[in-house]
Amino acid sequence: MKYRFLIGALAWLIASASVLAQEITFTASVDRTAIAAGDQLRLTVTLANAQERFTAPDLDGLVVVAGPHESSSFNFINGRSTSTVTRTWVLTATQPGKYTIGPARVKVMRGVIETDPITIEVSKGNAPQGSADVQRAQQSDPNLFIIVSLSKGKAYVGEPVVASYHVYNRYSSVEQTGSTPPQLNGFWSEELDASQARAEDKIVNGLQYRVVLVKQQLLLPQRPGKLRIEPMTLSCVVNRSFFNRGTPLDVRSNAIEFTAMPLPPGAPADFSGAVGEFSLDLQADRTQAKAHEAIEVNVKLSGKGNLKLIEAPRPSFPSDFEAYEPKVNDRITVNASGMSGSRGFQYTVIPRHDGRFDLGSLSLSYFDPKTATYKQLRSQPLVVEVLPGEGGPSSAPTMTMRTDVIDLDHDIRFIRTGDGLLRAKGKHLFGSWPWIAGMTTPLLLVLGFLGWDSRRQRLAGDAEAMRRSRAEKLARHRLRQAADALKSGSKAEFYSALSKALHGYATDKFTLGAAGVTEEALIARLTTDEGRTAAKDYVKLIAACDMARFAPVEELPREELYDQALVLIQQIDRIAR
Amino acid sequence: MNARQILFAAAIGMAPLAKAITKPQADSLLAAGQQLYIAGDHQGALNALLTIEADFDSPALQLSIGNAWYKLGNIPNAILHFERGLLLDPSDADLRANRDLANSQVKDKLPGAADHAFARRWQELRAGSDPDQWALRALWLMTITCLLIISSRLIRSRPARRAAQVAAAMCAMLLMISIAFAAARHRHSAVRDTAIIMAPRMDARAEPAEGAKPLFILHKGAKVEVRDSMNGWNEVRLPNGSVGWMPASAMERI
Repeated sequence: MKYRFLIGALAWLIASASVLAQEITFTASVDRTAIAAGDQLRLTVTLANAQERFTAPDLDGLVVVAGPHESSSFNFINGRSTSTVTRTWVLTATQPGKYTIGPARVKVMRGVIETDPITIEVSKGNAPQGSADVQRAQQSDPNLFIIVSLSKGKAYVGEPVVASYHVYNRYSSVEQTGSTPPQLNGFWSEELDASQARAEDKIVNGLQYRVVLVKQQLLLPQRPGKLRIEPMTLSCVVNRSFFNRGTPLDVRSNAIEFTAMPLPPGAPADFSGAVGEFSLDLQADRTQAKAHEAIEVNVKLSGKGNLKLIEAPRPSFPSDFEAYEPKVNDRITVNASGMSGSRGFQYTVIPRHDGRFDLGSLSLSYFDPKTATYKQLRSQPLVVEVLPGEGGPSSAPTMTMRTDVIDLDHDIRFIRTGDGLLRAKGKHLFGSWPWIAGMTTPLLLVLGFLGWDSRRQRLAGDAEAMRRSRAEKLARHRLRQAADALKSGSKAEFYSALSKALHGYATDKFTLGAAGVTEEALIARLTTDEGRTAAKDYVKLIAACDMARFAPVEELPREELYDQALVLIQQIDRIAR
Repeated sequence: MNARQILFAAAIGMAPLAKAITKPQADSLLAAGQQLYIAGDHQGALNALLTIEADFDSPALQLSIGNAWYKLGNIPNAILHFERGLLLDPSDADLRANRDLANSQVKDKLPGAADHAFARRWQELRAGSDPDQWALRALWLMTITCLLIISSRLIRSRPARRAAQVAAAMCAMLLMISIAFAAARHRHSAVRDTAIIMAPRMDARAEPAEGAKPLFILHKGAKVEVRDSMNGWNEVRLPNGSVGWMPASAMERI
């Protein structure tokens, strides 16, 4: 019926537009018919050339976000007046589905006019419908609540997490009068600047809220396990206006659980809790300086991670260096993506002695939460060449502070390689059979030798000694025979006895052979001057005897020869004793 | 398998399963063990070196073993091997320094046997750097003495004969000293009358029985003199004269 009417009216309008300008029209329109859940659409109902109030259409579950806003216009052109009344709603849908906006009705003189129903297709939106926390908070107080949210629900110890505190508000005005910050046990926290945050409108379960970020924190979990962020409370006054003192309200946020994962085992020795991504730099402002001139050594740790919580490794300066406490230069920015920047440690050192000093390289291990592995940084090595300072060692003697060599540390002495003279265990030379044999063999040999030698000496010594001791006696005996022959006057007998006495004495006394009685042999045995003359006389006497014995001539009287022989024998016996 | 392991495996491979190892095997094992030690594998070095120690000995070997134990944190065993090395060569400065350093980590403070420099010099002289040193000297002196005696009998020249006799007498005197030192040294190394406490903590008791009255407490690393032993108990004596009985399992003889 209404179609018919509408078509009829439209045909009539076109046919006689100029005849009847004040035709009544009533239309409903939307700006779009397909939206995603959470999106907004505008519904406009327009009534032209009538002043009657019309009823709002049935919205079939669509939520009114704003409106209705009403506007009207009136035109009077060339004696013809037109008027329109427009009502606008801003609608949204919280659930996907098909919605039908029912007809709006208006009563005019000729009857009731209805608009066409409009079908709206609502697809599944990507806008969040609000977390469980929001739903719960909305249930307790739908007009004002605070939601704490974390950028991640679990992270490694030391890995940054951002906590955001959003106020959801439906009051026209909210003034904050006080707040208690949330309790953060087990976190190291750093406030982030939330003042730049813009307020935004958000629809939760069909209700529109003004959402303001009031506080944002960067949290670094400090110990593994379940950590809890206790609620934050906010005191505020709502709906305050010129006419109204407002209503005070206390709002509590939700509490939130967080899981801090422990760092995996197997941390390197130089790991000291750094988590993130870093680089390490070791530099000196100069690598060549004179003694007693200050050098600046910079250790710079830069990157992204828990920078404020880590100490850069300290270079080990040689004891010839005077090192002062470092100046710390922090250039760290903290924002929602974490901490980044650099920490610089500036050491001022003064080398007190010239030489080449190897400061080595620094190392630092950190944990990279992206790959869940430990990584080691190693700075480039630093070598400082120190030249002799003012008035070097070659110049005139100066007073040098003499100090003892400082023992830095004690450790066991290193092993010795190379002198591996291994000995079989339990084998001792002392008491072993070879040793005993080696000891007794020379002893037996010497004993045997001594026995043989003493026997030989006894045998040899006896004969000679006997001859020696009997030499004088025998000589006396023969001299006596010679004396007898002298008395009897027998020349041959006398000389024979005298010669035998002299020969025999010499051979017996000096163990000589019968032909060995020569002057040389006697002189060799009678080494003194007296002995030498005696030996010469003795040999001369023997020669005189032998001559007188076989020749008729006698040079000396026999008595004289006899006395000479007696004296010489006595003399030689005395010398040779 | 890296080069060190190959080296070690090669050295082990040369050693047959039979108990005794030969001198060349021991030499190569020693070199391999020391290489492992230098490379930082102290446990591997220790395994190799202890294989040698069953049959062979030297101050350098004991130094290496002691150092390996020390690096592994086992102080009493380190002291034990340093002391064993010092028994072989009391004048070894490295062994002495390391023994003293290890001793500084022992809880019980016991005075050393030879603290005076003179007494130490005398001990070093008497012991010699080589255990067979005095026995070898005795052999030489015996030979020289005998030669001198023989020559003194054969020499006719009276002053030369006299000199030979004096020299022979002096050599004979030195020979006696050498034999005495050698005998003392032999007794010293054969008797093993000192021990290192291995147990972390042990009571010395008045009688060789569990439950007897405890007299004093010793901790690991302490060096004691063992005077007597009976039924698995040792009677130990401290330098200050205290005497008590301890289980033999609590200590290791040097």
